[in-house]
Amino acid sequence: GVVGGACSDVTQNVYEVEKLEKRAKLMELLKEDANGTIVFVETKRGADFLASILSETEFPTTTIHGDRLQRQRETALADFKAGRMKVLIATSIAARGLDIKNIRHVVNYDMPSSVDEYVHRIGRTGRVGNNGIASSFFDPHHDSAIAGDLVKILEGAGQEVPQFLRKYSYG
Amino acid sequence: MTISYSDFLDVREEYPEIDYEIRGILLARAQNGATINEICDDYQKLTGLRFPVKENITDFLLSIAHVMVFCNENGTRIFNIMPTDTTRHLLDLVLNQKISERT
Repeated sequence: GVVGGACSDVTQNVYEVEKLEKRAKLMELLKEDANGTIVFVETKRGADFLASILSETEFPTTTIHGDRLQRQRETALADFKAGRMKVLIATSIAARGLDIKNIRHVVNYDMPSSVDEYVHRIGRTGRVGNNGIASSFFDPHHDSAIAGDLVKILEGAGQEVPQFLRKYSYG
Repeated sequence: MTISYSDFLDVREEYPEIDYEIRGILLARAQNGATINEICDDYQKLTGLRFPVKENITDFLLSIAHVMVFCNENGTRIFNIMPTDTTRHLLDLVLNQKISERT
């Protein structure tokens, strides 16, 4: 593949989702199969908020973010790997350097601000011959700056490029 | 004073997830507890919606299961959340994480 590009054994879906609709869209994706899903969000408080709601309703969910002690990160990760927690919600920074491999599904609930970060995140799924899924919520009011780069990444990985993304990539 | 769940049925009809959302907001701030202003700000930031209750906010919050409140030395009401079976693991993480400054 292209150096620095995204692996093609990951199915990359980009959905146009406004901020208000993100939670319902996440629920819809999790209802198909929640096991082994890592969800990336922007803020620490947002991570715990979302995890509380998911845990109370249907999906045991844990979190990793920058306020956690190393021991707590390890506990959360172990719970996720062992399947005691179906979903792991993480902020980008906290997930750096963590040994999280073979994730079934990566969800970019909040899009990263750069495609490098996007490629890094989705590289956590679809390893060693397993097909992974990456689902991204593109909010046109917030994410249009990376639309052009995202189109290039999707094209480079042989993925379908949704029409709305092309529209926003022209500015 | 008796507060009943049914006092705020109209709010709950329009915002069916608000109890979960308030508990989530309180859980995320469980280390210090949260003032009404913080709860309203977080609600707007996290849901994108204006906090729907304008009056008797304390009554409303106390009609939500597992929500508690105390009055601090300045007379400010500080809200917090009790653990439940489904959220205890998260509350343990928040309560024992790095000490955060009051914001």
